[in-house]
Amino acid sequence: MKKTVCIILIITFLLVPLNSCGEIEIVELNERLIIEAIGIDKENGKYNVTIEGLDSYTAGSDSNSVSGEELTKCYLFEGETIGMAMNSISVITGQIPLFSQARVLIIGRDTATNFLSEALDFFRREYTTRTDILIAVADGKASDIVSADFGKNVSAGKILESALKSYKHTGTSVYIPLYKFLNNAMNESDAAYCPLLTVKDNEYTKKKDVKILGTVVIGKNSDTVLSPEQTQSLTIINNDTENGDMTIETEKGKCTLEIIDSISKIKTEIINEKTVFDIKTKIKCDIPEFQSETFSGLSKSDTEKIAEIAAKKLTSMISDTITEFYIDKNFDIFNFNRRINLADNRFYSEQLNKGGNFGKLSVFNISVEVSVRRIGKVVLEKE
Amino acid sequence: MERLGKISAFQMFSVLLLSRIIALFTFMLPSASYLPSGDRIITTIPVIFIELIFTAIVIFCLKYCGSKSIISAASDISDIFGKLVSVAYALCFIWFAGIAVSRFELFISTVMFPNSELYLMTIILLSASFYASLKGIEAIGRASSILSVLLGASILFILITVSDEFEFTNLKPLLTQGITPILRFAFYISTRAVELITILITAPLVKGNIKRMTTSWVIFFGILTTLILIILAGVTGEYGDDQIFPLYTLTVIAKFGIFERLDDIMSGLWVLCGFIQVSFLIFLSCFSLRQSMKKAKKLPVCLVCTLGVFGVYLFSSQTVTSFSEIVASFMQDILFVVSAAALPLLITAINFIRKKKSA
Repeated sequence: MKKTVCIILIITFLLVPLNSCGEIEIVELNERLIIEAIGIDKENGKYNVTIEGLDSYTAGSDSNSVSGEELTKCYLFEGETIGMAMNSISVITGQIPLFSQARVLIIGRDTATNFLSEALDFFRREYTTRTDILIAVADGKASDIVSADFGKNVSAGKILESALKSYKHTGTSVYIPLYKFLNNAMNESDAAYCPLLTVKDNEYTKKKDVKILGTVVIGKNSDTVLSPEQTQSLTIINNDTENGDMTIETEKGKCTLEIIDSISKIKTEIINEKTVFDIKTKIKCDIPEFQSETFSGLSKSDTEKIAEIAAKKLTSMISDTITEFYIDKNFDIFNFNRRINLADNRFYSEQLNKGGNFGKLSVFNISVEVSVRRIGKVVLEKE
Repeated sequence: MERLGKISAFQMFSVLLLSRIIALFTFMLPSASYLPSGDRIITTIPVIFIELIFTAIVIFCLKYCGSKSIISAASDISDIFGKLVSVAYALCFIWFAGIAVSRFELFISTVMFPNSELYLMTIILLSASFYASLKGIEAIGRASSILSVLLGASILFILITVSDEFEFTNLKPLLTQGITPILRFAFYISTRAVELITILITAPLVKGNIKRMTTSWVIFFGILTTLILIILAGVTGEYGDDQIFPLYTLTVIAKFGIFERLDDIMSGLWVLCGFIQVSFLIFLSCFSLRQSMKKAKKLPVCLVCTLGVFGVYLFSSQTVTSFSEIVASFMQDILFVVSAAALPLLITAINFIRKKKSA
């Protein structure tokens, strides 16, 4: 009896919401616009949001072939704010946007330099977007990259994502999800950085290709660009190098070194109002190629010489990058200021109040140790 | 006489753990954002200390009452006083359950079903909790012991997978604003540990050593919190500082092989945690009320308590700012101190005096 009463009561209790089921909006997958890539530009005081969306009607149809309709479509939305522009998606496309699938967020360079916090607030605040989306800056307008024709049935979002993930192989670009970018952008003394992209014509396919120009650093209303070589120095210092290669010239020939492991340790000390950074880097390399006049192998002394030259080159690269960006331009992309803060908060706060040019107060001791593991063909030293 | 179901100390530990995790990590208290992440991490030390003080008070009162709950001890003084105390605790639990439902709805409607009004989900949650509370503490305890293992493993898995992204430079120096904000924040966090109050009522229902269980719960949760806060700060840095759902933020970042959406996989666990917490609090409010109304049937009392919880939810869930104000209000501090320490100590003191006089 008790059980029956209980069940009746629960059913009665559930009748209220069940009767209101008609008010619940059920969105089918084909009513969704699955966002692949987002481009943000600000022009004439208004935001232009370029969206590449997966056309779920075409994706689900039988004509999903090379001869069929395009899998993805690009749309341009305009609004006073990004939120307003996003809200007009449904009006124009007739589909409800699904932001959580977006692969990349591209911001126009001018917009990133001058309106960074405005442009990113929507993505920081709105939970429909994901904070692990990859971010990059377009050299020019973001719309040009998101709407670029990379080929039939090729998603720009996927191509851009693959390009941004190429850091794993080259070591000359950075991999920055939105939360990491925001972490730097929101810090009082950091400069945020991310890859700088452009598109170029492919003369064979007559389509577009994506190209990473380097790394753009966004400061307070100004920006600067690191070349791919300087980006490699940055990733080595920040321990973000997973792979990569470099070329050095020796007396016997030209050598390609493939980085297989890199560890940097930074010790920070404040001595007499000066910050001393001891940067010790250990890099392990393979030699996949050694261009010389003969097909000879490499001896122990050859590899030691190569390692020495490589270490010198890397030391110089790292030193130049630090000097140019941290000391001369005052862009902290290496988290040195955070290290100073951790080492001596009082000193950090004082210097921050004075303008925060920590680079001018810093001394760097850089040492790079390169070891060569695999060389292909070994030659024993002659007595 | 209705048979009282009993649960083991581990099951009770699980219930308390799940309730505390969902309460603290699915909604970071608004005042947390004023503390640098370094100071926030070390706040866990005074939090453990303060909670252990409250635990000592609770254990002392329970020990003095024998194996009775604090309501039974109050009834020993006088029937009317006992009834007043039982109603007070019932209202207290209804209030906390309502706040828990609001927090749950806020979390779900923000991260899982954004921009949605979730009355339906809330009503289903309350219906399920109502049903579970009717089933008694044994059912809640058994469910939570399984769930706590699942949740514990999930949290550990997430922490391990995101530890790759940990950067030492994301951490902040300690004590940059002195000790006072840390202590104030520690007191603030400690007085939201409503689970401590529940021990005063559930003591007779727990088999095993309550003292050891509560102490280990406080210390274990303190260590877990420290670990989560260190990893959150080390992985997300400045970005994590202004996140109101910190554990969710970590799950979004966590990736492991083909499992790229751990936050979606975790969604079910959050819902179940919310269900356990609300069921437990509804059960306690019903249990407290029935201690003063011995002839009252379980079902109508539970129903009234559930409706009360729904009322508190409607009152407190209007906007995120009003919810934050309610959670952060000074009244919450007073409510906790009175129900966890002042009232039990008063009851114990009166009983002590009465015993002395009668001796």
